Amino acid sequence: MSLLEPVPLLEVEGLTKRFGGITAVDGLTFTVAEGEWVGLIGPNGSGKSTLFSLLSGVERPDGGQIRFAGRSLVGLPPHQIARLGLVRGFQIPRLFSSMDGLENMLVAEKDHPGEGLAAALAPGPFVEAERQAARRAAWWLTAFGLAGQAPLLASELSGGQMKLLETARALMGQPRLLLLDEPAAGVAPALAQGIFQKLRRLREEQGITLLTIEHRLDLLFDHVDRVLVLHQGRLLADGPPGAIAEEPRVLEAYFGTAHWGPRREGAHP
Amino acid sequence: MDLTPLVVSFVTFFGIYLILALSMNLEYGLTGLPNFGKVFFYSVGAYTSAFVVSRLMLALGGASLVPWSAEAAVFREELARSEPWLAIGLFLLCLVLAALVGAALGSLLSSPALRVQDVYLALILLVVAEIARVYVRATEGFIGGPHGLGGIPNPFRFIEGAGPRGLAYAGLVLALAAGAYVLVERITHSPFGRLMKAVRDDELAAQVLGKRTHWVKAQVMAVGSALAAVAGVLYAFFTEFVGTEDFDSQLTFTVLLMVILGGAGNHRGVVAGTLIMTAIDRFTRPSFLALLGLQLPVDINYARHALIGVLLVLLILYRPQGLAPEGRVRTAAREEVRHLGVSS
Repeated sequence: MSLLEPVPLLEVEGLTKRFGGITAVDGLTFTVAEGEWVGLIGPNGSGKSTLFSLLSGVERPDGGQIRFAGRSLVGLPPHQIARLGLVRGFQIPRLFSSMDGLENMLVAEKDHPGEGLAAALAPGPFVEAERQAARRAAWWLTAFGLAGQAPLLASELSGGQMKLLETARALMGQPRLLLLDEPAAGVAPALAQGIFQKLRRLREEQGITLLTIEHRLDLLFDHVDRVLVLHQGRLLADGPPGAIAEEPRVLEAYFGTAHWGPRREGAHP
Repeated sequence: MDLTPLVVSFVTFFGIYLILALSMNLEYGLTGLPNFGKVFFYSVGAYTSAFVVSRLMLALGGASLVPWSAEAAVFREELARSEPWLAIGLFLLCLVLAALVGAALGSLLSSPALRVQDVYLALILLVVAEIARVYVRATEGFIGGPHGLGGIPNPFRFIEGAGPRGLAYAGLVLALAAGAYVLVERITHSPFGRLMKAVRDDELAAQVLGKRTHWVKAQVMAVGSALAAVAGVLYAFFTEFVGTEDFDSQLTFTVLLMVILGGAGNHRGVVAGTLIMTAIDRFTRPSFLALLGLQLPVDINYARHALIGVLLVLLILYRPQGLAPEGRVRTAAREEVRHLGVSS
């Protein structure tokens, strides 16, 4: 790499994770540049979600390196990784189910000065920070069409709304790199396209870097700059969506045969 | 019929149980920490009082008696009667010291939560409480050991007459319980309280949002255990005696039942649950029935347990969420974004 090229935001090198006899992630090496939107695809069990768990510190790798903004993440607890700006969502939303939409958002407020025990006893000086957090929460809820869901308990939301709230909550945490695991799962097709357009706008406006798992390839390929294909824990392909769509090995991993049907032009606006 | 002793004992026990139940609600109801060692932290307060009072009073009075002897107990009672400020000062010192020792032990004993799941944490704390009790019972010379320690003088010893003295003390206990209520309400309706609930609902989700959840648990255990220790001080100075048989783990579960009955997470509900349980506990005593001139065909001491058992079964069948549902966390955020319809 020449000196003129920017240092990637995320560098993964030889990352390996074994569960018993199964190697879920097997010597994975890739980078993500700042401001880039990278899609992550692969058949079920190819290691996508495990990779997210390794990056976010939920699982510890058996080997390899993860560098984020020049810092090694291996061995750091999840909360420290999040505070460095790497925030993740889960495939099945993990909301605070007995709390309402607003509360779910407010928990994600980064470095909230009023979130301590001492501040609970003497809240005076921290009221403004709390109000500010509330305004930010309302802004994100509105951006995701969830303003009406703010007073509802998370357990009262529909599956799609849960997914949206989790994404909004992750964004509330001010990520530099946002990992999303099927952000449009359980969401109506028209709305799914809307979510991806929203993410694209966010990236343009706020410079957030995105790594997104998505099974709806037509949806994903419309938006991402680059696609990583995982297969049995290994990197099968890495390239722009156009090239990936033509890659025979990808098609075989996904469908078992090298047959890729014609793209349904009318499927998306 | 003089009802004063009955009122005194009811109000005092209600206040003590309320502090215990509110601390349990903070830990278990709101943070999801099953502190099955509650009675241990309660006994820490009682034994801290016994230790401080027995050693310090003899030293200050210039006596060289064996601290746990009957003569020493009489000496302390006499000293407290003649020196009101000494007695009150020692009582306050015990409250502060017990809260500090309780907080330190509470945060220390939250550390198993780093490694084990809730159910194992519950068992570890239960075992800690039992080991501590059995150890003291078997250790001659440890603050009274198997014999217990008497003569922990009521701070209002200088008031003549058991009735007025008891009422004064009951009032003090009730005031401290009210203080505990204000404290837990403040903690609950704050950003920290919101974080506690987040840890309870999904600890991993809180972690990946940048929250140091173990630190939250340690702080909650510190506050809860400090409160339990304060309750222990109040108990020791009320009965004026500390002995291991009072710190059986059954008390932990009685307190847990107060929380579940009232509604985990709702402090007002816990007040109601504590009131009901204290009534059952106090009014099913042979002494109370004798006062009413009642003669039951069964031993009331056993009937009480059966009654509590039936209550628990009915509760689980018909109202598992308790009397009062958990509310939302009320902070300045709600009024700030009132337009979203969140100001509940």
